[in-house]
Amino acid sequence: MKKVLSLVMAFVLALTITISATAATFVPSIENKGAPELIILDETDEGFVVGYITDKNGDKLTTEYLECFIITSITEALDKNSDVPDSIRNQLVDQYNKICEDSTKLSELCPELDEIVKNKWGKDKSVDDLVIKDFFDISGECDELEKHLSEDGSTLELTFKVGVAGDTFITAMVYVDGKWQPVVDTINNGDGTVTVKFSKICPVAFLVPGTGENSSVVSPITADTSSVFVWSGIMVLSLVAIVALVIYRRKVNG
Amino acid sequence: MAKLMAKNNKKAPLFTTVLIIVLVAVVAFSGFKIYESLNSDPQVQGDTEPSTKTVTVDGVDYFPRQDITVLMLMGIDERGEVKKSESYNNTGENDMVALAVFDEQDKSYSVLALNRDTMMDIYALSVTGQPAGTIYGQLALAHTFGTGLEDSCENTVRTVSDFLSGVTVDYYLSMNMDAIAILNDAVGGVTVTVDDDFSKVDDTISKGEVTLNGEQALSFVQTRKDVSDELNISRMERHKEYMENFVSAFNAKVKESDTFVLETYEKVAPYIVSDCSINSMSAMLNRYADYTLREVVTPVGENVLTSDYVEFYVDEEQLQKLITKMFYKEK
Repeated sequence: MKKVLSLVMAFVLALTITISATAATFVPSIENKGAPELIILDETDEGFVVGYITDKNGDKLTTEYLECFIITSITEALDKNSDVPDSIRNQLVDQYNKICEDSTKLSELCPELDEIVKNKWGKDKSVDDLVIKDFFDISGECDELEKHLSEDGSTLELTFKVGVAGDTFITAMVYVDGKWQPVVDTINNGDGTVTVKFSKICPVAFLVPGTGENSSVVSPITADTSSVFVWSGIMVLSLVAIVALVIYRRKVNG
Repeated sequence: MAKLMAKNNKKAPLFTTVLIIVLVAVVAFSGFKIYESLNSDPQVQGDTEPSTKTVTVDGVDYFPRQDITVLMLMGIDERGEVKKSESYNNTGENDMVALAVFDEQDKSYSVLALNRDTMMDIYALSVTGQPAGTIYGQLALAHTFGTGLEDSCENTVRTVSDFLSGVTVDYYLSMNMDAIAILNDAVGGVTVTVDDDFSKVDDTISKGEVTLNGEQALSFVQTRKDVSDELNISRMERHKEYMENFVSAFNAKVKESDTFVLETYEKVAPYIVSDCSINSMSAMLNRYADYTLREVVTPVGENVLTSDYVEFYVDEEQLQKLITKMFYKEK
């Protein structure tokens, strides 16, 4: 026990030596926000620009500012003491629980994603080769936002800091009108950010390849099993021989 | 002929008995070999050279040392006892990651301490806990994937192992920050000489000689903002003074009471996550009880101040030399 505490002391020593700060002027160290952050595209007198709404012809309708959006992470939604509106909390938590059920398959949640996967990732791939990397809600505080988005064919383009590598396949799905729908226009910008076109602001899930699927995840090395088969064969043959010998002896002994 | 057959019949029971015994032995040996194959660790094969892990530095080939044990220590930036996050991620960043490397050759151990802002490929976990590729970011984030318990620690272990060219981490132990305050209080407070103005951080810490309580100790060693020149070098001076005095106070307490260590461990235990049981940890530490601390090393590199956060980029060449020195042996 004394040695355990000695180790803990060494640990505290190392801890105090390496605690976050190393900067010459005060800049905070990174924190987990629980959900991807919106990328600020521009800074104007009106505020921080994070996206644009365009009409069905691609013409710009409005400029959208950071202040208009609220991103709610699962962690916030699960925290009953947070000030997340019940409508957002309930929807987010319900879908989170649904996703986490063992029996839930992505191909059942959003079968339409399969076409995107096959077209953009590979014909031999399926939506069930993906996993949900991020899941959060995005809602708007500005009245004009909803109004412009409700126009036929208009879309809102936003960019998120997701952190994926440039060559990683990534797609998204959104929970709209009680069902999951694919987001056709999901672009990996190659710098860790992902741009998505929304027709409604709602719960969003980013999906990336799971284990062994075009990701940096390396399966753990397992022991060599070839000798297992050899020794299993020898064992079976030996057991057969033992049984045969016992039967033979009984016959001989009459 | 009949005589010969009769003679053979007399020998048959003995022959079959011997054969059965041999075959039983073969069965037992086969079983042992199967068990051995299924439980072998491919990365630990005596002192042989695993060719896939051989590295070449300055024209010299090195292979992983088999005579070291590596324990990863993690300091988690969370207050209170360890608790499971209900979400698929958590807010407990790694404030500190250090590898204690026990060297069985010269009965010593070294500590490799990593800066929490070190930029590297971090393994990500999905909403359902499955591997979800990697992201490039600060080491501090590795622990925030998962529930904050074993899965988060293992994610950090995998991330750091890859960053250090595949170094094998044998065990891990993580501890929440409040453990510092508990240890501080357990020794009856640590007396330091305060030279800096802490009034914006904790107005109970006055200048001059002060015996810190747990909360004050955390402020003293952790806070950078609004203290002195806010430089890390100033804070490291505080760390040094604090640790020297802490060790003195700890040793004094051990001499005072036989039950001090056990009682203190029981207080700290709720703040710890490890893949070792306390018995395994004790057994391991018994083995290394007489080992001496050789050095605490930190990779050098460059701080880059982005608009939002600090990013630390290690000097790759120096890091590789450090890894080679601590974890590899010349061919």
